[in-house]
Amino acid sequence: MFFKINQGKFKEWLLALKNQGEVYIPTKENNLWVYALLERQEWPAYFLNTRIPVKNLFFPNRQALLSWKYEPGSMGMNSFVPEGKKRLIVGLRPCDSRSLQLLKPVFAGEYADIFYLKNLDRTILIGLACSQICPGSFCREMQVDPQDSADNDIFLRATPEGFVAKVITERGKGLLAQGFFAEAGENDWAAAAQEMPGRDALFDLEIVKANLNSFFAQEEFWQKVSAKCLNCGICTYLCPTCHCFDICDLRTPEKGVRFRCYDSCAFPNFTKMAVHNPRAEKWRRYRQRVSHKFNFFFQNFQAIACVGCGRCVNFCPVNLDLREILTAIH
Amino acid sequence: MTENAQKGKTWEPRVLAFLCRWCSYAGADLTGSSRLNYPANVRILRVPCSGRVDPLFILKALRSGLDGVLVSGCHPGDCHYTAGNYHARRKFIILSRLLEYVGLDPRRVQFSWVSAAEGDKFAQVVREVVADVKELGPNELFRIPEFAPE
Amino acid sequence: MANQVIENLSDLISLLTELFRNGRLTSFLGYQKGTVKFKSSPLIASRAEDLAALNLDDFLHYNLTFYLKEIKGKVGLLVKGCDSRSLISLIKEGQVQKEDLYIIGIPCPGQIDVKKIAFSMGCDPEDLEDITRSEEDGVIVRFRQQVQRLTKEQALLDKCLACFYPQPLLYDVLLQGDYLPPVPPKLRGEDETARKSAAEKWAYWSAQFARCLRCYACRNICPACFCPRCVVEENMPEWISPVPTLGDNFVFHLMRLMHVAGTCTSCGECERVCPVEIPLMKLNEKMAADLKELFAFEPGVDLEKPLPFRTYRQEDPNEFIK
Repeated sequence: MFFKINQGKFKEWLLALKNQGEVYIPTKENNLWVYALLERQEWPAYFLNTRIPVKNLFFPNRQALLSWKYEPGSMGMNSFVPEGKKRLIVGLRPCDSRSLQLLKPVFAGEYADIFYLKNLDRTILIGLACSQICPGSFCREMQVDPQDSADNDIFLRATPEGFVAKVITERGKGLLAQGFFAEAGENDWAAAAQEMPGRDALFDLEIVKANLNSFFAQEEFWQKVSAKCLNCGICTYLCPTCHCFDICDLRTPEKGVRFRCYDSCAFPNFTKMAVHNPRAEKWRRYRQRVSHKFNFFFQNFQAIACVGCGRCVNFCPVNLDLREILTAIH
Repeated sequence: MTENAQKGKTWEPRVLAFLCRWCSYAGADLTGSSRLNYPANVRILRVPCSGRVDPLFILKALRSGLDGVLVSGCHPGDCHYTAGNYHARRKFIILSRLLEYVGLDPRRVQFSWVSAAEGDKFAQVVREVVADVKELGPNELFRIPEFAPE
Repeated sequence: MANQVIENLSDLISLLTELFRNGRLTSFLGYQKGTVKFKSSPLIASRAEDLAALNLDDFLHYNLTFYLKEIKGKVGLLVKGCDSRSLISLIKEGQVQKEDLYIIGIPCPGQIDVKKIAFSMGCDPEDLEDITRSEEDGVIVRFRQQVQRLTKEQALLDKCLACFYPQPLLYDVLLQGDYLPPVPPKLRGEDETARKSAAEKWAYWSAQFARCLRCYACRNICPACFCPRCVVEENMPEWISPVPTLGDNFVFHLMRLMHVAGTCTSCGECERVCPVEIPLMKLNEKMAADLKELFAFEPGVDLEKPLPFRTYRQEDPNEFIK
């Protein structure tokens, strides 16, 4: 099912959505694009992608899990499981949209993570097709289509007049039949497809997957490609699919809060234990990072933990380019 | 490091005082043995020398919710370790200016030279620091919202 | 060797190849072509064959001296004026021996501030199509099919516009080329944040540090942060929580600055790599100004002058102490 809307009505529709719940749109704050609550800001005329991926709204860097407080004779506890307050995120790119589904099996496994799942449950996702290719990105090689996405409730394509919307879920449909949109047809949807800059594929994902096992033992290869890595956490923290975390208490003798925060396998102490650090050397950490995302995660969850958004490439302080490495493995 | 505001009582500031063992701590001891009164808001941490006080201690104190910090050592020239207080003096002015630059009121972190014979000076310094901090109010700078979800 | 005339890149590669062959070098740090626009990439050569990738273009932002924390042995490296100051700092801190280094000073006409250009044009760095240097010291920017000429002031990093040491202060070989003319020492114009009220300053800095992700890119890229074990990784006792609360972020950044005070040369790399655009240079420059004013000390300039916290004077400021 397809609908269409013009620019003016689109802005009104966004404001009307606020009656349904908290509305987040891409907003520029402090020279950064982020998802922020819709207040007075305009819908962006031109934006590529947010700096911080959308996972931050579902699996934030700082998530209080529970708190406790000692009173004489008792201990009170408080949980921070998100309430059911509805949220709507408008403007999700296909890569970020895919990432939310990729993370789901991680958080919905044997130990269901109520924080992530509750957030996913209460949030309506309204995606937006891309018209440009982000620098450093390789979404198409990762089988993410910049012009189409099935990972949202509604998916929008921009047109000169406004937008064409594709309905993907029932609850998405409920939002569109609201008096702002007019019905549209398959040809409107097809006409709204944009010509994306062409480029030869950098690598074939299937070949990379197939080769990774044999690359594991090639120590020299990993030493060479990881030599300039800084061991910071930028690639991990800006990655839409990275999900390693640390749990830490902040407390006084009387009370405390248990937090979950991001952690990065690139940090030298990530695997440090009492007697040993199995990944003390940088090349081991980098090998693990690539292997986890492109090999082990696939073995566990039948999906590759990378959507090709390009943030790791674009924001790496030393221009360590994952595309070069994947191409080499190919 | 417990809560500053207690139910049913007016708030009293908590000030952490780093006193050097040879001069200021002895001076504080003299205050006591001279039966001079000084506010009970101060908690004393003895260090071997004012030069031992790492700016990290001061920042950690503020981070933990203490309302004020006092660092006190021997007068310049009298340091038991010859130059510890000279090095401390340099560190402290740099830290002080940095804290002021980010908007922290310099009255929360104060410094003094108190010798082992200056029992009355110690009492006076503490009175001044506590009065300043009381005027500034509780340290809510680094309050963690999750600590008190209402 | 020092008298060898180096006129172009291939001369430089020949020189370095010779140094590798006769064992004078075990590693070399330079620049190579980047894979994203407006960036080069660090080159870490461990053999002469790796030198073929050496490339010097218009975007040589990296302060390569930070790799000396990790890469030991006989290391050759390219330094701009600002980088050479970091080298001097590292030598003074005993982190590296001058005899182990082979320092090649390179000309720097000032580095291009891609972010400044983009923000002044109301767009993002990713939107700019092309930036090339123009003959009149500025740049030519192509953006959405339009061409715009920008002056030096509009295009270069603030630190370059205030650069007093464009020519490296320490080198074995100095390459010829366009060097930025030195300007009298001054800071980045007036810092408006310094004139705000305490409450406004606190609100400003709280907003900045609230964004900190604790990725530690600023710490890792900093040549002055060379501790094998950083205080932030200590957990018995835990001084700074890994959770990015406002308080712990504050403590991390202020502590890092206090720890590098006297060694930090305001190279600006920390601010450049921050993924959430925290204006760290404001703090660095505040520190540099205070060290200059109070102790007449300029980091990374004089190999002999003692570091500010390793020395003292009787006349050091005292009025702030009761």
